[in-house]
Amino acid sequence: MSALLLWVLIPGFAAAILFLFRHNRLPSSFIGSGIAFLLGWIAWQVPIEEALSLGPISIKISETMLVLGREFSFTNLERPLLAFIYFATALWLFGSYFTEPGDLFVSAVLTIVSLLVAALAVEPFLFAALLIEIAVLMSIPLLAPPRKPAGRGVFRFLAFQTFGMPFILFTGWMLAGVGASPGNLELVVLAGSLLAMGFAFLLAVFPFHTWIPMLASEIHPYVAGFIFFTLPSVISIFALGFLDRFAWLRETESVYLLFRGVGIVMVVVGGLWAAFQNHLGKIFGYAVIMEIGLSLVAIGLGNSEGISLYFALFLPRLFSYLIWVIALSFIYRISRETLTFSAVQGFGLRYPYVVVGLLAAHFSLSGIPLFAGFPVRIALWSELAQVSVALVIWAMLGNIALLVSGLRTLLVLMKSENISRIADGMEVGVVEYPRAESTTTLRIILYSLASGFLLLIGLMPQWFWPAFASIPQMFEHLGS
Amino acid sequence: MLSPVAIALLLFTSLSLLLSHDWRVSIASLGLQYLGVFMLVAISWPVSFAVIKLVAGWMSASILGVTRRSTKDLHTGERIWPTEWVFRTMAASLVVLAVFSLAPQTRDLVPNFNLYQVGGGFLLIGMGLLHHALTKHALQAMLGLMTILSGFEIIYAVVESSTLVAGLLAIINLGIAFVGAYLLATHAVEDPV
Repeated sequence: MSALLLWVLIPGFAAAILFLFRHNRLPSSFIGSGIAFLLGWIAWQVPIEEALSLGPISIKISETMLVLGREFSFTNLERPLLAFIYFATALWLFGSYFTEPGDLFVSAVLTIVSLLVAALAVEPFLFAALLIEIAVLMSIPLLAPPRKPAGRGVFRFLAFQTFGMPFILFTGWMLAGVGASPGNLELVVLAGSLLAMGFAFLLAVFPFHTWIPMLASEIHPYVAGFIFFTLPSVISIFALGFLDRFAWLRETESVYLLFRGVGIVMVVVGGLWAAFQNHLGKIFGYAVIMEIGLSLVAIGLGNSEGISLYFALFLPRLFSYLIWVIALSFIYRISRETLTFSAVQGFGLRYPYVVVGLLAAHFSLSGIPLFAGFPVRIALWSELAQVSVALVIWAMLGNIALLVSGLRTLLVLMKSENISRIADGMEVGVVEYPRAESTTTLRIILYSLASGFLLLIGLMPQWFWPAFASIPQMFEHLGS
Repeated sequence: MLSPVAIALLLFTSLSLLLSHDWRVSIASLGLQYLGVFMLVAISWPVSFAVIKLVAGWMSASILGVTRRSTKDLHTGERIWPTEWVFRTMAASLVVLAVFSLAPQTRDLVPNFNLYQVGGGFLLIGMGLLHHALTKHALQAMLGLMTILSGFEIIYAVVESSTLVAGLLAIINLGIAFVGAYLLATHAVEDPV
């Protein structure tokens, strides 16, 4: 059995089969989650290229498989990353049962994840750009479900992701020339510029970030959360592969300067613009832009510590995004698919546990002490301060601005005007929230556990960081 | 010998896509455009190989055309004469001027580049960007995107002749067409710029 069959083709087949059962939400989400969890567990526990005896049967996962003359290769060093990707996918699929993001979610997620995993494994790397583009195309039915018109954000997302692909493909050709003559400065600058433009489009780097808040305000929050977590994470790992592969890129100081500068701009822009939003979905979108900026800053540190911090950001980001969009999905459903401040005013007085979960996630991404995002951020700012204190100040400004948006959210959600109007029987401008559902106790417990877990990650990061310490070793040069 | 004809064809079809309101004219222009793409790609590739671009392009145009035919007309009105036509024509002429300026410089960067291929590629990329930016309709947005990709494929054909890459790019072309058909079928409406 090859690794490609296990971690790419099997989830792809499962996606096709689960598509046939898409109308049965419970079995499809739990089976999909189970499959993803199993694949993550296998990646965690079963070594590649070692025979495993299961009674009379001996199984070996082979590292490489050739498809149409191209190699798909998974090594033991990549197993921790594979495990994380599939465990994260399992969580997203499990949560889909409770958030109801649409019938296509389970099969689309498995398809997208399998394509992105294939993109990380393929050689030559230029095929990864094509696989990423196919994954983007497969995500469109998820972003624009049947019988619901697609908004501007979907078109903007498709356009920008498609624009990035040609730059990466062209760079693939130019890098061969740079490798042959690294002293040709003009060629080096051109190749670097094309690569930067390609990833600027794919990673929603400022000013190509507009699709994120647009999508966040138009589509189901849970779908937005999955796309915002998965695509930038995999694409940024793909970008790290370029740094690891090409010495002339890795040893150029201006590359890291660019990463730091652009990252800080995104942190500041994301935070500041979040502070002025009146839509819960857009606030989440700008928080995502901040997170992408943080990842770029971590890469821009230019050392192994920076790469370790880059991967350490994944866990608080995953759980913060999950809890945030689960809460948003509940609000989205109750408030009839609108997340504007005017529509959700007073929501927290009826459903305080949902607001607690939402704000726990919000504060975690704002870097508030005790929450999951704080330890990594403090480590990141400490490292960044050794390079430039001014950048740290700007970054903290962005975090404070995101915190302000969280406080504004709290104020709006706990505002009592609508509730008192309901009590007085006034109908003008009233938003009547339905009675608490029968599963309230379960929801209270789940939201409390989720918020508690964010606190646990923040209080005891040493319990969780070792799991991510080995991921950088997949890079030959960056991880050492 | 056919290269100037291809350039003229690309100029005519891209302008037609930009100015036309009728979806039938747009689909027909797209089909002709892929003929021009094929002619320029055939400079670098064997004809039997370059025909992949033509076949994939015509299939994409057919997918969009068939879907559009079976959906409701979402256009709110004709192009405003003469202001919108004049504006779009002037914008297109700026793109053409930029292409005339950039193409020779880019051709000098890489020895294998043919001036017509570079010019044709940049022309489609520029006109496609303009089209995509000015549209307010799902079908037109997809046509703009496909025009941009076509322009890239002309230039990329000079440096990459892998069968698998050509096949995957054709799949992506068809994928964009299918996505466009899907969005048309779900009554996608894009707000005006």
